[in-house]
Amino acid sequence: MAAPATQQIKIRCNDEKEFTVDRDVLERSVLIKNMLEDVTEQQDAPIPLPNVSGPVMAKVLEYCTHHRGEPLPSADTEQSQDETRKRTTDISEWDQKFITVDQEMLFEIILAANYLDIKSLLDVGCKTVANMIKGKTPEEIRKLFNIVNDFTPEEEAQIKKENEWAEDR
Amino acid sequence: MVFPTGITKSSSQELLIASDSSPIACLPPEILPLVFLEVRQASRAKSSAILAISRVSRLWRNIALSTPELWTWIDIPDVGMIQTFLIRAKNRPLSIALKEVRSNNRLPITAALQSLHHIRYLKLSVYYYIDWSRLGPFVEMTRPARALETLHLDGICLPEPPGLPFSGSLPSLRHLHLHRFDTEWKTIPDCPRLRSLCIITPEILIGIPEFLQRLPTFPLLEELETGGIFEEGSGAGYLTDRIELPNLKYLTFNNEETCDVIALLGSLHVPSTCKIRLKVNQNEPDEHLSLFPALATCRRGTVGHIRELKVIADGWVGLRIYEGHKEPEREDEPYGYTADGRSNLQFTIWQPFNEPKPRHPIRLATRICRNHLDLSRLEAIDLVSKDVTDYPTPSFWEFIDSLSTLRALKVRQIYARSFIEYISTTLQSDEPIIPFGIINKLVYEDPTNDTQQYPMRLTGLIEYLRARVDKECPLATLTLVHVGTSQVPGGFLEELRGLVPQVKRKVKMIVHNKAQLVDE
Repeated sequence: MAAPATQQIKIRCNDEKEFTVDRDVLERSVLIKNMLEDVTEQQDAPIPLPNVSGPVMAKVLEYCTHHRGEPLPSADTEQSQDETRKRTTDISEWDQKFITVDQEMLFEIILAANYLDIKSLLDVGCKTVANMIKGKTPEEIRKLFNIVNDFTPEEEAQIKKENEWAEDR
Repeated sequence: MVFPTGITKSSSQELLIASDSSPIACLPPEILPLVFLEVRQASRAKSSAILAISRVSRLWRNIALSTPELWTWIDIPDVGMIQTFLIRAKNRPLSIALKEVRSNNRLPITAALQSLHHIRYLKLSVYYYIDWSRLGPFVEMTRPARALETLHLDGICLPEPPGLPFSGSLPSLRHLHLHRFDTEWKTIPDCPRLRSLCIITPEILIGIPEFLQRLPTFPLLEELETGGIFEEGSGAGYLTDRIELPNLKYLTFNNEETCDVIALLGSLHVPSTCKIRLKVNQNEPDEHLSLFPALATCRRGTVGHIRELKVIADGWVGLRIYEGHKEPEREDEPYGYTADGRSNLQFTIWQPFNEPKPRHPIRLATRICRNHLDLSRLEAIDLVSKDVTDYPTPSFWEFIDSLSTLRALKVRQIYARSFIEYISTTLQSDEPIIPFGIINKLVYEDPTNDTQQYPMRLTGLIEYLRARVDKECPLATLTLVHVGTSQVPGGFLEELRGLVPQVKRKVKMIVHNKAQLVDE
């Protein structure tokens, strides 16, 4: 029998920070949902989440609370590879505001979404990073993310030749 | 020339150390391809975006090169690049979109067509024309395209090709768009899964019987659009059982002769929810009036219960009909307009410039409304005209008066002197000219923005409002657009504000090269 929607679940992050959260909010995470379904009896011990810190979990829970009750993406829509289909690249106004954080937090949220299996949050994170990258040259991307150009001069020359078409235009 | 992948593989440890100082380096390798795919999705120049990503660092390059999905979209009209992408995409289905290929550069088109067997999406558009004779023997290019889902060809072909560059049927094709591509209708292969068909090729001249006979072979059709493709008069006298298009959502006939559209509508059955857009030429006066019965039967009943009507009479006969409306959120809120294209039925009738102008568009539109449309639920009218010889006549106001569900009326750009004179001359009448008893929103826009020439333009309206508007009147909003202060007697706006909850005055301002109405 399904647990009532108001059931409270405890979770513990890797910095010992604990949260008590409504079950339906936590079930936005497929990982936690599966864990809860595997537990037949109610347990009081918090669910350990060794890959997520307290501050990041607080952000994730903010997202899950806002989107509680929305339908979860199905496996079919996830796997569709039709490139001609109309995919939305837009991020909702609330999500945009939510994801306006520094780079470190942004990547931590993406990591947490990936670990907790929250597809919609992972999408928002990836789209945000993609929007930062689009329209930029390789050098601008390196500067944006503080990435070291580790190509050898020979490799650099070869890649440049490959891209002559774009640069000639 | 095909470019090699080039970079010697380093250990993942070495790669990570190289980018260690970056927060993005904390992302595991399985996340970056997701980001890269989103970059491609968000970029206008998709192939160039992927090339840029592959030039950032060794790690990014190796991840990009080991993700074939990233290389499946090709929009660079360069043979070497096309072949590079083809190799990196491995055997994944391809999308090729080559825009504005120059006529003398045939190689990218040839390279694209040679990959037809695993192309899913193909869009070719060229400047001027495609010279098929320079692409090689046509027969050699015709090959099966079983994976093709979308085909969009835009370019005049010289010489005329013997058909589409495929052999056999197109079992997966869902979208076929031909612009300026004058292949013969009969050479279009069987496409049992076709969802949208758009042919805009004035030179093609398809006979209507020939066109209609093929439609049942596209049973899943959801969108059908043509643009000047029919042989004029070819549908005259053609009799056929109604062709059912049960899934059709959008039907558009552009720049076709009225008689041909009547013949087509008379042969089709579409769902009553199908959105129809017609832009027709007319050769005989009032010929388009015959469209309405054909339209009604095509949609299995009436042309629709119109809830919102927009009449645009810019010197031509024009009538757009909108269905869909915005319900007021509060009881006392004025009725709103949407005009967001959610119409089920939209048509514009136009004439070429060398034809004599039609007679008084508003009067004609009124006649169409009265005789051919079901306006029993009409809630809003937006009336626009720039034709100085045209203005609402007494019969127009009688018509307005008869609309018992009307809640909002916009009168814009109407030749104001006639409009106001009419109101002024009938001011003494006991019967209301505009049914303010039910209308709660009135917008009046002055057509000239000239506050000096007709300083007394508003006199009639003002007097009328003084006489009619009182506290029992439901008029909630009055908006005066382009009405200069010299036109309004002192204190009148204040007086109106005491009677009508919202009185706004707007002026047109140029903001970012666009005219916007701004509250003064």
